[in-house]
Amino acid sequence: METTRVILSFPIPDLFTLAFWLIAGITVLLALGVIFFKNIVHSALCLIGTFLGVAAVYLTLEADYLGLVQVLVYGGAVSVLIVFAIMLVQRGSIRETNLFGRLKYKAFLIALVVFLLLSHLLWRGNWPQTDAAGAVENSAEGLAGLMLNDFVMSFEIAAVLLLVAMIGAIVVSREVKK
Amino acid sequence: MLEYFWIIPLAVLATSVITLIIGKHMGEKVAWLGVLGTATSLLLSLAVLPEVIQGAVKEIRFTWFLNIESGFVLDQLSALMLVVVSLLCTLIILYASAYMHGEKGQLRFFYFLQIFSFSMLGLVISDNLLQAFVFWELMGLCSYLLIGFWFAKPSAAAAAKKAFLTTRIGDVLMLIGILILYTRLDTFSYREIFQAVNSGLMAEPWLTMATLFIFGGVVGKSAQFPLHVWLPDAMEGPTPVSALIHAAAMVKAGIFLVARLYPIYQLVPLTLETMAVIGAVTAFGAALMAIVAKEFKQILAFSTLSQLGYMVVALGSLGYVAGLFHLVNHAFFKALLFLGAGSAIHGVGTNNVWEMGGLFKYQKITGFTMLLATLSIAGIPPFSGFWSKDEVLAAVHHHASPWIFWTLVITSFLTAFYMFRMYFLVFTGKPRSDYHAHESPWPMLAALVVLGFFAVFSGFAGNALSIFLTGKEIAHEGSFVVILSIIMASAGVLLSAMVYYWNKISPQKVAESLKPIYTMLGRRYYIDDLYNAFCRVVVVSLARFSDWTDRKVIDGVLHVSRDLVLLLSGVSRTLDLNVVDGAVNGVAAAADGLGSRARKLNTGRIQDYLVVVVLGLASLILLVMGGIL
Amino acid sequence: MFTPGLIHYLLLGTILFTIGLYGVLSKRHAISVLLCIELMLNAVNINLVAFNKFLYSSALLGQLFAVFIIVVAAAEVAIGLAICIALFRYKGTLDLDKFDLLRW
Repeated sequence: METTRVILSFPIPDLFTLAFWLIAGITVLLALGVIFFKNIVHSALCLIGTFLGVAAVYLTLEADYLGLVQVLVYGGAVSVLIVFAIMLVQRGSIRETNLFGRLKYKAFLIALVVFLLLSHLLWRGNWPQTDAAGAVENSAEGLAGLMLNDFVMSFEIAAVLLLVAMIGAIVVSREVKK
Repeated sequence: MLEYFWIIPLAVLATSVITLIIGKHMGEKVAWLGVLGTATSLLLSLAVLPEVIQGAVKEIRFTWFLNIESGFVLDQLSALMLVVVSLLCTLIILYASAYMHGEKGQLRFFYFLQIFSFSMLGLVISDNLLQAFVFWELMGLCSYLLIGFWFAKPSAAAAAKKAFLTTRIGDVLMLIGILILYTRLDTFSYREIFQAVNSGLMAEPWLTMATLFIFGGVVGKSAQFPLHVWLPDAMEGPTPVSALIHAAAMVKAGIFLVARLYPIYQLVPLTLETMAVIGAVTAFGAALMAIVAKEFKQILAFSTLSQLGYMVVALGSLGYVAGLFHLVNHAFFKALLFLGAGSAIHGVGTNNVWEMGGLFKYQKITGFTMLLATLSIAGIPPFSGFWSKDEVLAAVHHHASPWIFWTLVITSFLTAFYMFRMYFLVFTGKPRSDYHAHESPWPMLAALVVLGFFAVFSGFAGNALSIFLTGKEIAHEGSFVVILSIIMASAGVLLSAMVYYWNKISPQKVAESLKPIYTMLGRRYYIDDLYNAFCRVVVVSLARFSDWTDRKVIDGVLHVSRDLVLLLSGVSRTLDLNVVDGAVNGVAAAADGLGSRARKLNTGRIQDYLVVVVLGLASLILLVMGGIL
Repeated sequence: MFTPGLIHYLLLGTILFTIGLYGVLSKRHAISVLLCIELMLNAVNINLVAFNKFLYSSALLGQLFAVFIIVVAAAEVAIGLAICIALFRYKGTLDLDKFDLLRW
């Protein structure tokens, strides 16, 4: 009996690569779903999926704390907020609420142009070749260190910003008694 | 004093200006301003006379305008004329102050009289033809204004027009003569003309033509045949006007001018002969017309024509002194006759001698002075007229053809006849109509008396005059002419007395038997009718032709130019509307269109704005990539 | 080529950004526009983190920046939705084609 060596032309990707492509593909599909679904709730749902996909992308990038924050904030709070808002402004049937406007094709062209430009820039850009082996330790600790030491000012202002936003949102959406 | 002799006319001019200024408030007293002016001139003229008699001659020259020289001359002739004219003007204005009592237009009348006096005085001292012509025309104007003084009367207005037009024809001829002299000799001045002609600078045909043409002006102004037609009609003016202008002064201007230019006139036999013939024709023809005239002043007008003819003949027969002597005498007695006529007409109220008669009883002074004047003009010695007529006849007998001599002799017979006819009809016999006459006021009588004095005594000054003017005594050749003239004059008076005083011959019967001649004389030889017909035909057709020219040709040009202008303005309008306005509207439309299109960018929708933002961003990136930014 | 490198992450970010941009420009519903804005913000975040990992791995600045963006984005979503609710009360509809208040 003879052993045949089969050289596979297609390299077998490793798990990480596979995972990345899968996550990327799903995220992109979900993003497309955000804009192409006619039902706004479907659209919101896709957005939530996109948030989760992005969180997964963060994880592939070893930004574990950020991924967690993404899921918590976006997937938790923002999504709920969005759904609540949709519910508050909804009248009649929920189908056919998220249609394209007048600029459907013109905007497509413009977006295409922008995409081509940006991608061209990316492709030609001289990205310095560094190893991805920069040690990133516990990202939460690193982030906290940065946030509370060098960037404490920004941190505090961000907090004030959130307060203002909260008050502002309440004020703006208040019922005005005639 | 001699230096300022040229002030003499200015005295009257000054009073005329004063008359204009304050005359309106003076009423009838303006006459005295006139008297003042002319009396001043008279006194000044008399003041310069002694020195001129001594032989002084003065000339003043100045440049009038451009290169035309002008000036005044005071020599024997002008001094004589100054005295005569200013004396007559003074007396007549004095007379007029009373005569014109109650008339309207006092200021106008005396102003014109003063202007006339000024121009006559100016004429006699002018030293060049151009200036003389100016004064000549000025006198013509005054004559027109004064004949037509009562302009509301159609006959007066017509008479004034006739006078002006007829003398105008003469004036044109005179101007041609003056210009011939100017173009040949390049001067208007008398002295230079005389010098040039005596040096032989003037070729023969030109000299004859110049003198003949200037004589044409004399024919007009001094009313000789054929331009005599205006003088009888000029009697339409007030009597002082007739006396001054048409007996004593203006008509004498022509005679004066010939006398003034005598140095060249005496060189041209043809002109002298022409003058003699025309003068004789006028004298004789006018005398015949005077025989049948019905109006008082008409008789005197024809008489003036006749006597002027005498003066012209005298000058045409080399009788320089005779002509001037008769001029002076005639001025006095003719003025007297006219003033007396005015007095008579004033008193009787009619002009027609056949309605007067027996006036002597009521107007003794007038009648007496008139008798003196009539005797004078008839040529009865020792009155003034006899002496000067005698001189004229002597000159004619000596130098002119027999025809002319005998014509004048017969005329003097006729003169005596018709003048006494006039006298007998008016002052003697019985009044032929109802009238209430009274003697005239003192200013009129004063003038009559003064003139009467001269009428009697001026004749004795003949010799003195001759010496004064020429330095020579009057030559007396035999007594043939003297006797003849006395016989003729007496015969005339006698015949006239037989017809009109003793009524032995009836004038009406004579008129009947000689009907055609009578009618012809009455119609003034139909010359007036001939002229009127001529005017109607020629002048009117000329006027029609000019009118046609004006309407068709000139208006045609006007219409063409009007069409042209309309066309041009149409083009301009089109240009303005389409091109100019088109450009402006186009710009506005462009702005409007651009605006309305650009407005569409402003939708208010944020997504549209975002599209623009993104496009801007994309273009920025492109520019950065392209290396431009 | 298939191994995810910087380019791939950046490209992913670009794709998501472009999709979000398209949605912002063309969608009718106001809340949909907000959703797409969130999408764009997330794409930016991916870019930042990718840069951080591949280029500046010593410090976590990219991630810090991404955190702050998340903070601001969340605040912005809250206010944006409040505004949408207010707009809905004002006009009764959230169809952006009907809103031309920016005109004058």
